[in-house]
Amino acid sequence: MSYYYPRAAVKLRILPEDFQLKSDASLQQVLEIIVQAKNVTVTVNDYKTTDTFSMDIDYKNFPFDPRTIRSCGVTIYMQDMELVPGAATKLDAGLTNAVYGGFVDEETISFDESKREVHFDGRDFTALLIDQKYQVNTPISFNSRLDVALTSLLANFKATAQITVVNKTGGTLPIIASFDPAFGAPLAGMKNVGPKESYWEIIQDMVNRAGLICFIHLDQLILTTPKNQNDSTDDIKFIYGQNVKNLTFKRKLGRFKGFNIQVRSRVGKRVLTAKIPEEATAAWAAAFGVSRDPVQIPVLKPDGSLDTSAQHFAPYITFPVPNVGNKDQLIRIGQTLYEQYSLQQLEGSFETTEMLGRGQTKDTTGDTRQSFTQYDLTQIAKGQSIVLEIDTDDLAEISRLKDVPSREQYLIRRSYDKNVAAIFAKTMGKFSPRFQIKSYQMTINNNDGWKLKVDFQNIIDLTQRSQP
Amino acid sequence: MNDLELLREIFKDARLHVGLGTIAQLGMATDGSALRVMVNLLPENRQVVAQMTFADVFSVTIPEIDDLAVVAFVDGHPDDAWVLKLVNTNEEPIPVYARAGNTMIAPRVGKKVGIGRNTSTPTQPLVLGTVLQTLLSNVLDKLKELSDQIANHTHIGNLGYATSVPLTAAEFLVLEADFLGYKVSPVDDALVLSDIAFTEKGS
Repeated sequence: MSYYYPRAAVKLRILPEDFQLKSDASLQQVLEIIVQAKNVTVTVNDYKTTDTFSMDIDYKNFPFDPRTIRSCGVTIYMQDMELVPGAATKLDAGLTNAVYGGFVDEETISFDESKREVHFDGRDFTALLIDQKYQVNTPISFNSRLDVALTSLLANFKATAQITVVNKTGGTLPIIASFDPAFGAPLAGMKNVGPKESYWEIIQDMVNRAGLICFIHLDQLILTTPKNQNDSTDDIKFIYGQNVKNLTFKRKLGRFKGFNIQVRSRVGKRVLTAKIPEEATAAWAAAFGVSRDPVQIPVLKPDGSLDTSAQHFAPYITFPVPNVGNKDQLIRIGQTLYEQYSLQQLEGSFETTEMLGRGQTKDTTGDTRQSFTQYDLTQIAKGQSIVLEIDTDDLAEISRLKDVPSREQYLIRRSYDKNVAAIFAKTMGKFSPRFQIKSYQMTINNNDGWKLKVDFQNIIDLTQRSQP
Repeated sequence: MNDLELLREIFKDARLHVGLGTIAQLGMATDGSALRVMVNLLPENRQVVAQMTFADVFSVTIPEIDDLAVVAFVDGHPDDAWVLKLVNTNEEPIPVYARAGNTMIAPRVGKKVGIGRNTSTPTQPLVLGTVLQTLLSNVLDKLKELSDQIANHTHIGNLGYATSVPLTAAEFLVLEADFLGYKVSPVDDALVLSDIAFTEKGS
């Protein structure tokens, strides 16, 4: 058990109400104040959904009538003040301990016999982009590099102009129009915008056409790939039995499991198609750990035996993409889609009250000496990869890291049939302990301290394939 | 708002499938593979880029700025926009001849109508039927007259007497009858002219 000193601070950027219908809000002065909240909960959702927060402030510390506030921006900071033992325990709000940026949607003040509280609920900048419809009335040019095009788009709307586009793909971002066979022709490379299309929908469309994903983190629009988030050097280890509680795994067995992806684009009279995984690049297939053969599904004959008389391909999920005449780009888009769809096979959640990622684990070859640095859990991010292990004394023999005979003997001792024990013992070693953070919730409460709840999903990781 | 109305609002199809707008800009691909036009959708004045379609791939009239156009969006997708037709307004009224139910091909002001192969620029003008009919009639009159004169031709011979008509007078009389026949039909009776297709000199 470790000792932490969790602290949270909230910076409010308040635009006061002047009670004049004709006033220009942009000309008013924004007031910045930092308050200490009784409870703060930050919920970071999956990358297509807006993040939310809620907090309670003692009315004594925030004695303002809600009618005096026209709008309110929020930045939330969290930190373990024990990170530097002996240092001052006052939290200095800064970029390194910021965990959330957004604005208040709803403010409530309640008085009763036990409390006098001001309650705020709000969302992050994703919500601004979701709520705001594109009203510029001109098509969007795709003739510049993606980050430049996105920055230009965000600049159209004052509230989002400050969002910075950050490229975390590790490469140069493409010019989307360059995939169009008509690139360079007059009026080519433009995206029409629908009558009620929001900025978020437009951004998602642009990023998807580049074969990437994006999400808002604080005041940044992060561009990346699903795979890039799965960088093993960033793995944080969580071990049930050491620093995790309430661990749950869930697999929807009824869900459609085998699938192929095809991305199509019409080019003149012809349709260009990319099929994944069979047309994926060798580098991607190796990195993602999949074979470049079409995914097949087992089909049973009426007598219950496996039908091997023909190949039975899994269904192709089809995605149309406009104006892409470049097969490599279609493959890139297909690979990204395949990665996203693959993230749905297994999911679960756990809670921890630790503020640092720590604990001892073994690497995939069973090396117990592997060490890792401590990780500040207030700074985790959606999409980050984690390693989840189960390490309790009574389950040691069935551990993923034990050898097959040990696991088999364990099961036989528990009265399993020998054949069943052999198969289960073998397959247990093939599971990867690596998962991806889908969403998480951080709470700092005056009474209960710090709590982190993480929802995770699996990533296709067949690094264990060769293990016996 | 009750639940049903809320659901109806959520699942309402907000896509535009067909719209009406004015042509704001033309962009011809250098290889002629497409004409993209910027259309100013009315009434919201939202601009979209659409590909122009024509009566046929080789029967083409390029629109002009400010023409009113019907724009269709495939499956309501804003990026798959096509101009299907141009629409008449008081600025581009229906041609007078067409108002009586006739089919009309009228070029834009200062433009021509071309009939030819899709790879070349036609330079030969069409012939005006009535003018040609009159010309033919007159020419045939003159030829008939010429034939008659040759068939009846005499002159003073070497002995000081008038000669007889030419030995081929009978053939010339046949020619005269032929010219008369051609003049009567198909020229003067207008069989040489179409009853359904008409053109004019223009300017």
